[in-house]
Amino acid sequence: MSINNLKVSIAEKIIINGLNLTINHGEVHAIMGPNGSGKSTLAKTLAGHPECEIQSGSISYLGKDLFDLSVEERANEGIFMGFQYPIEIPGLSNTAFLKAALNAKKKSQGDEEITAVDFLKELKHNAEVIGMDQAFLNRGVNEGFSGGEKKRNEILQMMMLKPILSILDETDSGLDIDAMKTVANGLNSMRRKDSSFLLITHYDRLLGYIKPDFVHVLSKGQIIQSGDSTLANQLEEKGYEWLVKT
Amino acid sequence: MNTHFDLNGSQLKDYGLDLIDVDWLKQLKKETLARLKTQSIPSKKDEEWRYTNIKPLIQKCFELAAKNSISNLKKDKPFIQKHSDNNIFIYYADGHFCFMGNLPSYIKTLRTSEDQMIFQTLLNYDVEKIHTPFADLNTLMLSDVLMIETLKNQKIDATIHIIICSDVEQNINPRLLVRLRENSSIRIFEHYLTSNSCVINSLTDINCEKNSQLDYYKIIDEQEQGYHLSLSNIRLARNSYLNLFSWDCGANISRNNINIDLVEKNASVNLNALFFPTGKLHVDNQLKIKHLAEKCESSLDYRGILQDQSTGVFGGEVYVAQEARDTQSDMKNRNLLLSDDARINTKPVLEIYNEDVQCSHSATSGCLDNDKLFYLQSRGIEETDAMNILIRSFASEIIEKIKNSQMKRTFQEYLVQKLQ
Repeated sequence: MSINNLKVSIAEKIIINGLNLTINHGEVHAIMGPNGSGKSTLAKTLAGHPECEIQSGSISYLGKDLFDLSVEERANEGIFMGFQYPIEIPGLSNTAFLKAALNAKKKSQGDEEITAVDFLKELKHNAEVIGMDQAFLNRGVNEGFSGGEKKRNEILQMMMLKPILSILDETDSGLDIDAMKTVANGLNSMRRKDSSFLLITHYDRLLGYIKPDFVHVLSKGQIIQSGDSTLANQLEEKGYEWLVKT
Repeated sequence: MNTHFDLNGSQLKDYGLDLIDVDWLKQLKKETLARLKTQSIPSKKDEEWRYTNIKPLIQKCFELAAKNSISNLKKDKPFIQKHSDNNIFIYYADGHFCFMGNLPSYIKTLRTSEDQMIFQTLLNYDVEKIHTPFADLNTLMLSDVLMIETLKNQKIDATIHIIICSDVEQNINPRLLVRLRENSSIRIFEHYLTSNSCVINSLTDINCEKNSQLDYYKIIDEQEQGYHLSLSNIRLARNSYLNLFSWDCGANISRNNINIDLVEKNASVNLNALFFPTGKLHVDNQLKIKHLAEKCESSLDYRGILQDQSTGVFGGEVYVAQEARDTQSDMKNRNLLLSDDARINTKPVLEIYNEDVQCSHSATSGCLDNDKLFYLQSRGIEETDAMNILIRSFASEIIEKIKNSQMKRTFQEYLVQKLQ
């Protein structure tokens, strides 16, 4: 994916202001930055949220213009966004939801629907990897889940859908250390040559478990500093101010 | 404008009196007719008819009363199913209840029962008690009565299906009496399935004695030109329990009044309902729950899904008497408006006369949640599919509350069929 000079506004306020970023296959990028720097807006823009208005710039993804693709087309082309605040949908079971999503992807690729047996086998396996209780699979989507359980559920969806580019918005917030480890296990199990990650995070805690290839600092809608994983450590020590001031 | 029922004209003068040749019933009908003449026709000026224009219904009702059509259903009854261990089917067609084979002893009809006394006693009592014009119209026009009366300690596993159907324009006035004796239980499933512009005016009276349990389901799936009126009066004694689930697809006018009196300690009622009108259909729900004794519980959850130019009304009233201490009551009405032209009028009301209560009431209405839509789309699900999933999930939440697995499955399948 290649993002060029992107400007995005929400409710007529510019949030992303000239952002450039290239993510190649197999790479893990982390975006850090203070509150209000535009991290979540970037994630939402990539997923196609209707409230993000593109002012200028371009994004190409697998040789296509991303803006030509609808929200669901982006998903079916392999873009996955893990929500900072996953949505509760009572009345729709987690299992039925995952099956609908998986079959939508299969349909878009011209494949046949997954069989119930294969689906359940894979679902159970993935739930085990991230330490999710089977009982959660039959409950309404995120209904009454704790913050940590919701985040685990995002990772479960990601594992089932096998995206090419995973954008995880603050997936580490609200997780205790054990949950963080299991979530990281899930993520690491998916690292492949042909998949890439964009991790959006406040702190470097998650980055202790998943080592990023690149770390970027976002401020006022622009990337003001990029580096390797050691940049995250520096930020942990010094905060953001030393960068923002320069 | 004449605000009283004009029954001196030719159209209703003799109607109903010759439908069944029983002296006591003729007498009852004469008295009812006399009373009906003194009653006012409801209009939009009445608070409880404010959001439902009753005029076309009354017009149609009188027009059909003069006609007296007979449907084809009577001649051959291919639709009638045989009873099985788990299901008993009773049909109401052309003015009487019919069935294949023998009915169990706890089900009787006025036309076939040798015991007229019990019908006479109960109907007389009913007519005395209920004073609405439509209840009187039902009495005036009734030509059969179905009575379900359990024995003490009798637990009935079967589902009693009562199917009200017609394929021609008719006035249909089903009358149902349910008596649950002490410590007994039963499951009743009423289906209203007409395929023409009928006027249904049904009246149901239910009395649940100590420790009894009634599991009660209702589907109203009528033709667009039809009119549906129903009034259920339910009385719950000590430790008795009513579970009611209803699904109303609407009609030209569909109006359902349910009055429940919790008259003794520890009685409880659980009401869950979906109303799902399309086109220009109209559904009006009117509920009155009276907590008249201590430690009673009531829970109401009514959900509307309104499409196109359909309209809905929710009028829910929970009354808690001074002596009804330790009352628990929760009333909810949530509505999903799927088009700009769909409309809902909702009014949940609490009237409480003591302080020892836990009562809540709420009403919401809105369109599909954009955040939920985006969440589903971001997982690759197309917009129209995502919308259907959300509508289904909204309805499923209510269906999931059904405890009986067979009934739950029935309504789950019905939902899938309705959303196709």
